[in-house]
Amino acid sequence: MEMKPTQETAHLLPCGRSVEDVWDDLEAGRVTDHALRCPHCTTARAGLDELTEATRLLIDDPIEPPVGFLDKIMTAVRADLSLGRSIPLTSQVDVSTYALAAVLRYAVDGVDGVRAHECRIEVAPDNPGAVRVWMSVALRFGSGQVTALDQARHRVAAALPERIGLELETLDFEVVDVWMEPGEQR
Amino acid sequence: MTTADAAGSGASVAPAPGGLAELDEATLVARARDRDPASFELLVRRYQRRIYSLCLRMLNGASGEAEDVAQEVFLTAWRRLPEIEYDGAFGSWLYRTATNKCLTILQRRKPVDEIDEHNTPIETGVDGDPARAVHNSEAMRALTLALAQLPPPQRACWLLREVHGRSYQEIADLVETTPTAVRGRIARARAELVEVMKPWR
Repeated sequence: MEMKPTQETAHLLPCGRSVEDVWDDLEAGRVTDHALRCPHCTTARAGLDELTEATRLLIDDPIEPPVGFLDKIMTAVRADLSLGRSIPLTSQVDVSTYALAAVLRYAVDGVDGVRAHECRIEVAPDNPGAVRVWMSVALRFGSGQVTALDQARHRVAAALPERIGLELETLDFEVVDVWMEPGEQR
Repeated sequence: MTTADAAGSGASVAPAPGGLAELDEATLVARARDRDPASFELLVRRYQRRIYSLCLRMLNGASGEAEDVAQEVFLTAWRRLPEIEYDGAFGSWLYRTATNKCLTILQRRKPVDEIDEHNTPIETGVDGDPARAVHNSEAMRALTLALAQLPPPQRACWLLREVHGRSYQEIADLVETTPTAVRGRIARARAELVEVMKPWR
């Protein structure tokens, strides 16, 4: 069970104040007559100042992860991806839906004001050469979103046959987020 | 801020203005959940230093163990991304998982292993400035050794708040207590650290 700070656990100084009281004064920039005269509070304040300085050094300490840290993670991640679902392009060639989603997201990213999030792709039931796509997107706050989505739709429709050799049967956009450029006020 | 390189999907269509590296975290998390490795890699780049250094300090400088835990945190994140419903909660999730994994390891350690004075990570001027290294190393060494003497849950609260800037509420959720109790724990940790660092002054 968690204890609340008590007189005992809050490190009481001989003058009756606690280290935490001194910390509170430091944080609030308060200087009391007692603190100016009291040697115990002065010692505690010096200790807290040193702790603050050492903490700053700890925050700035340029520790980096060991060499190869990121590579090991990404190797495992890519191995995991190879187990994913795929869509047949021809009788001999399949394309991974993850790779296909990446191409479609990239097409959407080319439109200013739209960011692709998630993407679901399935083969059209009556046309094996076409796909149905659902994509969640974020839009930049302001005017022009409808035009931007239309542009994104055209780019997806163009990217599929040009880059993959599939047609687009349907494309549903779902707007799930809105963002503002830094410094822009609503 | 990230220092990541822009990692494209390999397609030759026009990229987003600013590239992937400029994307907000919610977008990267949504894409990573959708099994986009390029987005996940950027998330790892953004957080790897913070999570690794938290593990290193929680585990008192045991670098091999810290590396293993930190890698496991990111791989678990990749596998469990579909369960993280709120895209903005990704960072909290990483901190929570890393802290809990470290606390579990420390519970299993023998008490005698807990303070390892020969294994403090912060003594060599990593930035290559010997003068700064000497000046800094004394204060850092004092603090590192003092930290190692705190009970692990207290050390976790102090590190998460004072070094990693996490909120009281977030830490309270992580250690399953109230923000008031977390404040109390950090206050005790702070007073202990000042006490233990006294001989170095």
